[in-house]
Amino acid sequence: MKLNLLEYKDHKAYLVGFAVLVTFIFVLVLSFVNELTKEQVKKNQELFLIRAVLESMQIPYQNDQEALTIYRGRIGVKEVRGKRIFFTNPPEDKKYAILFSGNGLWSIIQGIIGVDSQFERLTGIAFVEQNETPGLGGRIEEPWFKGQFQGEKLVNGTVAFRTGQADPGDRDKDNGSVDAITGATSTSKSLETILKKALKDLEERVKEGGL
Amino acid sequence: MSLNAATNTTRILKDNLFRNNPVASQIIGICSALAVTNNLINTFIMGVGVALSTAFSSFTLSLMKAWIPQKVRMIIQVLVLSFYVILLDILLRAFIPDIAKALGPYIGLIITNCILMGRAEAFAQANPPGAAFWDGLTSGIGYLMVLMIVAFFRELLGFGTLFGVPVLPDQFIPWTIMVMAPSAFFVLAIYIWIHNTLLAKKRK
Amino acid sequence: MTPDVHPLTLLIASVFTNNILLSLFLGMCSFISISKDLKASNGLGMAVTLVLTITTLINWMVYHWVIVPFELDYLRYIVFIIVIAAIVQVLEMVIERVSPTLYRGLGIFLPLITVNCAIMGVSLFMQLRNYDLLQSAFFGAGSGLGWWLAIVLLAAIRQRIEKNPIPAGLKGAGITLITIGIIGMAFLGFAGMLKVQ
Repeated sequence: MKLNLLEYKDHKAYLVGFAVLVTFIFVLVLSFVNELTKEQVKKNQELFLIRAVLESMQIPYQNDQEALTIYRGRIGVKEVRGKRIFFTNPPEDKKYAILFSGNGLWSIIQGIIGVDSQFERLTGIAFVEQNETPGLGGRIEEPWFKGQFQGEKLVNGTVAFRTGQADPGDRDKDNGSVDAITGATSTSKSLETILKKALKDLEERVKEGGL
Repeated sequence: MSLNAATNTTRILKDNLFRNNPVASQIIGICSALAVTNNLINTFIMGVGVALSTAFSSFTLSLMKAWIPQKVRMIIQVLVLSFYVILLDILLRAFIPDIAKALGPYIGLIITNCILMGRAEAFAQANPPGAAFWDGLTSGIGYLMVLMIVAFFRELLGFGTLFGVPVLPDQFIPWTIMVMAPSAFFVLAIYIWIHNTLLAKKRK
Repeated sequence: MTPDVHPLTLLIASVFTNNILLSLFLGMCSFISISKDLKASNGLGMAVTLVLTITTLINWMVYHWVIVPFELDYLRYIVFIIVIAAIVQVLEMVIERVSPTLYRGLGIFLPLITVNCAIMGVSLFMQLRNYDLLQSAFFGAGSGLGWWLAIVLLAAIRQRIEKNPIPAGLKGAGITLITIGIIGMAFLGFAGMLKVQ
């Protein structure tokens, strides 16, 4: 009986029926898997943000669970004029961070940058979303690049990006500049502009919000 | 397993890794992954992704082959490939989110990787599921191997690192060109040159 | 959030500074084999440009008007590729009816295009980068023109060097890849020309 069906293999009804059946089965399996992992994916996205906030403030954590606990207990969030400002709750050293986003080379770069209470030095930077070219602009996510921002002194309220350095990674924390990424000039330039604006936004909003 | 099957298995392996290596001999499938070859880690994950998707889609298509009408063959193949790539994407996003983030659109591009379609057409259509799986897997590994070699040189010379770990002395001045797109063509061309020369020698 | 990039900038950027083939390696498969022949390259380039512009637009509509409202984001790869396959099929039929001359020039290339990674790649990037309708149209057209330009350049160079003495192992694919690399380097010169901002 089973093989009889195959005799009609080139019949139109079989053609359509087969295509529909196969599509149906595959899509069904996919939606099932998607449904199963939905919660996890959502959690991951929240975690990305939380980890970025902690990273930008240089608050260490061992694992995702701890990150969540620290975030809930020690960090406050306030929305001032459309921007999300994060700050440490007392009795800790006051630190501020802002969720920034702007145009990268290809699309939006979204991340968090943190400063100390006096707006004197940066505490760090972390990225939530970016779609720059992997291995080029995408290297903004690498530790050596982000490390340059930790403790970097702000000059004229921002950091400058230096180009043309042979040995990447500016270790001087007082010159108010970091090394741009070799081969990714556009991403570096965009990020420089984004950060300048983000830091200005942050300072204004911390004052306005009375944080 | 009979003796015949065993030799067959090794023959497929050798064929797909060396003689008929999809990248070196057929110059196919490089589109989706060449862009990430300036970084060994990303290359490795992309390669594994391609190998697994090829293996499983070849397996599935081989299982279904008796039932697939000729007229809709291409569409069914694309459907099966997309199914595995989407599955890979969902699983990566749920369980290894950092990697999923780093690779971004390149995971989706595995669908258009010609190796998947090529193996489905050339091998899975006429062979049993087990062999098709093995053929897909080894093709993928052959592909991974070449890309890793390209990525090795690009990352080493472009950044002075391997798998993100600095290995060259501080005095080393990175070759910026290695980070940029054209170098991928040069490195691959040199690899193909060596590959072809060795193969020609062997034939003599 | 849509990035604030002028559509015209996007068009020029995707032809010159961020050529889909030379900097993103998309659409390599047919590129190497077809570029042997200048005339065929021209035909394929035209077909790719046409298909890219149309598919990017339709995929944008499908994505924003169907996939997003129904929360089917995880199925987008399948949907994109089916849309592409369907459009190519329809185009083939339409061109055959309307203009048999054009069909003779373009027709044979159309089936090749479904599996061209550039087409799928542009749709994916368009979605990932959140371009709006106009930006997507210009991005699609620009990527197509860029691909077309690259394949015609390569085919012309290949014709010239065909009879040159080249080491046996480098013949064919090897020297072609090196040529593409050199074209790519030349294109790097455009990088300072405009800022994608």
